[in-house]
Amino acid sequence: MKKVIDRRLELGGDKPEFYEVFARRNSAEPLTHIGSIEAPNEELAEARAWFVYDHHSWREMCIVPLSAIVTITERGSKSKVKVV
Amino acid sequence: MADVNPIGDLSKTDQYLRDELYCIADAKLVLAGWYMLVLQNGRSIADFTSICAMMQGQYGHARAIYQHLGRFGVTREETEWTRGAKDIRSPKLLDRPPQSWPDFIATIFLAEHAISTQLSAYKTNPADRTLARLADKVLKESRFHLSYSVGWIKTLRKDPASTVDEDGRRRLVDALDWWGDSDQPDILFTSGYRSAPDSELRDCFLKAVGATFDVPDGIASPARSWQRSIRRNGSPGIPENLFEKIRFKNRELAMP
Repeated sequence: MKKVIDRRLELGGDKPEFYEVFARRNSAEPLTHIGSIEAPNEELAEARAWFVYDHHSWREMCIVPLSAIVTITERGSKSKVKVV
Repeated sequence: MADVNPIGDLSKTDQYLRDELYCIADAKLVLAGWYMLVLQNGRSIADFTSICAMMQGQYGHARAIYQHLGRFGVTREETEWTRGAKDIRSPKLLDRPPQSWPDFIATIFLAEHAISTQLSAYKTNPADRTLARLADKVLKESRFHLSYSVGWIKTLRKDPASTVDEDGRRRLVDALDWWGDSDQPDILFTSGYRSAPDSELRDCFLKAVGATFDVPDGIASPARSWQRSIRRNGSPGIPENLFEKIRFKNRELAMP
């Protein structure tokens, strides 16, 4: 199979689309930002997040499109949610 | 038809169960081989990671089901090391290697759905709780494999020239070969090992696939010479060239 990547289709357009990943190991822990994932849609983001951040058997994991996050302290700037 | 792996002293029901689990585990073994072969076609590091994880998942599931076959006297030597191409009972759907990225995505979508649909009927099996727990665990892990393929199908469809729907329609005919002849007695259902008969599982599969691909009305796979023990029409086994790609290469290094 020849690999031909269509950046517009496969990586979510001219600008990459990111999803922020949050998880907790048990119900006592707070939901914590553990990283981000690039994907053109929710389904691929869900799968990639699950497979990439598999260093714990998470009790709960969720993803949020970066575009849905309302910045407060960094309003107006291009700052993104930062991975610690 | 003669048993591919005759083992004496098993009841008829146990023979059927052993055969069906062999088919499910072999489907996962070959599917793992597919993931291994296309790994370098991933689109990004996250994609490579996903394909690696799905490959590892399928190998892990195959290994766990093979281990469960020990209940029927099947040994690890037989399942992993000594069988040839003619003994592998994977679905016909996986015989033909992927022809393109869209074909790969359409095929793994159908294969993952087919295997999960069949396995879902063992989730509540009261006769074998170990198998029920195993089925439940495999199904939970497979959910993300389906998300991956559905996400890719949606992505590929953005391109009007994409062949993913055509690939899906073509592969669906082969996928249905797994449920072959509904007129044959379904002992696993009637004896309570499976919660649904093959005919109902085939309908569930078509319904699940229909949520993503157009399923033509009245689509049917001809019964011809369907054999329950291998869940496919025609002669047993997979093509030699496919087996050569996925087979365990260094038996002498692994044999105790």
